[in-house]
Formats: sequence, C-alpha cells, structure tokens
Amino acid sequence: MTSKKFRAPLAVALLAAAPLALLALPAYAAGPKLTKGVNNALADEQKAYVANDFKTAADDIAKARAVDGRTPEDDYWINKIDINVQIKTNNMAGADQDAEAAADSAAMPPEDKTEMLRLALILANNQKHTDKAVTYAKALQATNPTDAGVLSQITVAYFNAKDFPAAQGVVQKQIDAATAAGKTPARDTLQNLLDVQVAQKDEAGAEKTLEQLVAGYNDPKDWTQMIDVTITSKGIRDTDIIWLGRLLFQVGATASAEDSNLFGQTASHATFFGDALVAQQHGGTGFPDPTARADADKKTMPQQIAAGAKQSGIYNAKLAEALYSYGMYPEAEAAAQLAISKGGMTDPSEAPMVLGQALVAQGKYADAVTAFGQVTGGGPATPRITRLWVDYAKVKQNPPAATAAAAPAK
Amino acid sequence: MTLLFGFAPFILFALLSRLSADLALWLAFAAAFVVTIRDFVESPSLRLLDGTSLALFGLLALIRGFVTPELSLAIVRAIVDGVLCLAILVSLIRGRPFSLQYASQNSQHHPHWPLPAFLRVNQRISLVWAISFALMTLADSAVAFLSLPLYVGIAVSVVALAAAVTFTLLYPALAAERLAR
Repeated sequence: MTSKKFRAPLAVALLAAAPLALLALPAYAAGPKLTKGVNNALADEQKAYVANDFKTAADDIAKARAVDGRTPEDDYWINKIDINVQIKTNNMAGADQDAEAAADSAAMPPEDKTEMLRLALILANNQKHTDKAVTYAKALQATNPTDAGVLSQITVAYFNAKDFPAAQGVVQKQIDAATAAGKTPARDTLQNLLDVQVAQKDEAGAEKTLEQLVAGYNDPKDWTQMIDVTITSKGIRDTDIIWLGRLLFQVGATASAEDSNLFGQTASHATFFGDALVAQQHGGTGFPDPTARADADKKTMPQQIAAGAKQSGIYNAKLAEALYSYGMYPEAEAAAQLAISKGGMTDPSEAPMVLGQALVAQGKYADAVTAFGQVTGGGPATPRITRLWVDYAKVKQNPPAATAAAAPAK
Repeated sequence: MTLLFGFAPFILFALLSRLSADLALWLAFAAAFVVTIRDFVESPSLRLLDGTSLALFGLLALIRGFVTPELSLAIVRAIVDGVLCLAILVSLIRGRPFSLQYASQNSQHHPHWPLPAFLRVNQRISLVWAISFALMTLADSAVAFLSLPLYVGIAVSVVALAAAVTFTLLYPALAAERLAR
C-alpha cells in the first residue's frame, strides 16, 4: 500500500528530472557549431537547392568555401552539402572529390559514417579511384553491411582493384545468406560472381554460376551465354547441338549468326529439316534451303505416325524428333512415349529427351521435368543439356519474382 | 507560430478544464482532430504532437466518460501534462526535436536539412517545452497526490505555458539575429 502510494509521485519526479538529464545525452548534442559565415551561406544554399536553383546553390557553396577561418567541421559540412549540388549538375568528378574529402575528414560525425562511406564508395567506383574505393569498401565492410547495393559496390571496388578473392568473398557471403534463407541469390549478386570467376579464369565456377543465373532468372541473354558456353563442351554430338538449338529458340534468346548457322548446318546434315528451317528463319545460312524438303516431309507425317505402331522404338524416337521440329508437339509426345514403351534404343537419351522437349513446348512443365529425369546415356554433354532443359522447365513452372537492380561488377 | 497551433488542443483543454473536465477533453479531442487533418492535408505525415494529442485526448475522453468517471481533474491534468512531456522527451532523445516538424515543409526537402544551428534552436525550444510540461506534471501531481490547492497547479501551468510560448516566439529571431551579426 505504502509503495503504491509513492509510485505515482516517484514517476512524476523522474519525469520532471528527465528534461535536465537529457542535456547530458549525446543525442542532445546538435552537432558542431559552424562558423557564422559558413552557416549562413549553407542556409542560403538550402533555400536555392529546394527551389532547384543549382547555379545559386553552387554560388552559395563557393561563398561558404571563401569564408576565412573555417574549421574542419565547416569544411566537412560544405563538402557534404556540395555532393548533392554536384550530382544535380552532373559533375560526378566534383561530387566524388567532395565525397572523398568528407569521408576522409576527421570531423565526420559517427552517425554520418556509413552513409558518407557509401556515397564516397559509389562515387570513387564511378570515377575509377580504385585505391580510395578499396579503402571505403574495407571501412564499410567493417560495419557488416547487409544492403545489397552497398555489397555490390564493395564487390565492384575489389573487382576494379583486381583483388578477386576479396570480391568473391563478399559475393559468396551474399549467396550463402540467400541460400540459407531459402531464397534464390539476387541476379546482380550472381552476375558479380560470374564476372569475378571469368576474371579469375575459373571456367568451371563461371559455368556453374551461369547455370544458376539461367535457372533462377530465365533471362534470354544469360541463356544465350550459357548455350554458347555449352556448345563448346568436349565430345558434344550433333544431336546435342540440335537439342541446344531448340532450347535457344524455345527460351526466346537472340541467336547469333554463328549459332543459327551451326544449328542449321547440323540439323540439315542430320536431315532434321524442320529444325534447319527454324534455324534459317533465325538467320542461319551455310546449308541448303530446307523449305521444300521440310514441306514434303511434313506432308508424310500422318502416314509415318500411322506406321509407328508397327515400327521399332528407334523409328518412333526419330519420328518424335521430326514431329517436334515441325511444331507438332502433341504428336511428338505420343511418338516419344511409344518409343520409350517399345525400347530397343541405340541412344537411350533420345526418346525421353524429345518427350521432355515436347512437354515443355506444350507448357506441361512438371511432366517435362519427370521425362528429363528418365534421360540416360547419350554423349558427354548430354547430362548438362538435359539439366538446362530441366532448369528451363522449372523456371517456367515457377517464374522468378522481379529482381532488385544494382550495379553489376563490370 | 505554427508550432503554437500544434498546442491548440492542449491550450483549449487547459482553459476549459476548470469548467468541465469532460467537455474540455472532448473539445480538445475535436481540436486535435481538426489540427491533425489540417496538417495531414498540408503534408501527408503525422506530426508527433498532433498524433499524441489526438490519441491522448480521445482515450482520456473515453476513459473518463465510460470507464472511470471518478478520475479527478488534477489526475487528468497530470496525465495530459505527463504524456505530452514524454512525447517531447522521446523526440529529443531520438535527435529529432518535435518542433522541427513545424519548420517550413519546403526546406525539409533538402537532403542535409537541418543545419546544426537550426537543429540546436529547435532542440532548445523543444527542451523548454519539455521542462514546462515537466513542471506542470509536477504541480498537477502535487495537487492530485499531496492535496495541494488546485490554484497552485493552475498557477504553475499558466507561468510554465507562458514562458514556453514566449521563448518559442522570441528565441528563433534572437538566434537568427546572432548569426547575422
């Protein structure tokens, strides 16, 4: 009872004392006392800046710089404020100069540190001031940043300084964090890793990352790059090249002239006239015009399908390939199924592979993944090409969310 | 001056509370609503003082009207003073004194606003208001818990409020004059 009686007055007394206690708090210290002339010039700059009058704002900054007896705090504030004026007037070199001076200043208050270092890092990267950028990157890293944009800039700094292990360390940490959280690493993070791996000539790592990129983000440009890398695989067969070409056209990537030529020539040589025709439509040259032969062949498809039941597995697998190339996907699916059920293949990878491709083309992605899972044998490059088709089916099944934009390492 | 407008609900409450605590609370709540809406239209962000006044007077009006009608005027006044004092203290501890929110909306668009001198002026104004409310809390609590006469509380409130208003009106001009010299 007695303690209750005193509780309210005690609380009141504490509250009454609080304003005075506040005077001792660091938050109450309103920063440095700027020299009068500097303060007034900067106050004028603020008015001009918010009125979008950057010329006057720059003049006010010049007035502040001309004040005699400036303190380091004055210079810090002048530089800090001038960064925005320089950016607004597109003078990135000037902005960088200000940001570096501010970030290097002993007068920089601790609460400004992270933001000022971030700005100085971005601008130093922009101006290719590699040594400075690395200094800021290291200082920022010490603050354990989690912001993707900041981490990307730190990676850029190390990359430009050719400190690839450090750059890779930063990127790998981001990837590990995303993986641990059950998320796909950000596109730009993977792109940064790829750039670092390419710079280190880590081909195996780069290919793995590229595969992660296509699987995670389904960007046609990445697919083009991935397919270009895969096509150089050792021991790649003609059939593999045709399957890669189909994937290239399926994902909607822009095929280079070399790619279209290679796919067209390979398909023409293998008498897959439908595929050769598609390659020709994408600008492929260097092989006989397949139009007439494709038209004639396509006309015979109903008879060939009808004969399928009495024919071997190999026949039906080849028929499925032809049907796919003519865009007759349901028929290709049926023929491939028939080929699998008949068996007796010389190449066990062919029928399930075409089946998967036909299913993807029909939007039956889950079934396609199952079909690709049945692919065995083939050549040395076949498993990798199969994996790419699986990646595509999966990414179509679960399209990636919009990705955050951040500057890539290059 | 705009800052004083933010205190309108409290001033209205302080003036009318002797007449009827309930009437004073409801009218202060209505005033807080009008001020909040008006300010919200001006800039789509809720000012600390507006939000606190709105919630405080609304809740107290409901509590005194429907939950504990026996709550004495002195206790109600002490609660109002105490809560407003706390709100101002929190703004100061966060390094963004509440009075900053009443500065020109236009200047707030500068990426490095406010300059240290301007922040210091606002810290002092906010601190004076915090001290003023702390004194009012102390006086009204003394009336509520130590059975001091009510006029003591009223007298302290009038003096503290007058001092804070005078300081708010005079100090910024004085500080600007000092900087211009």
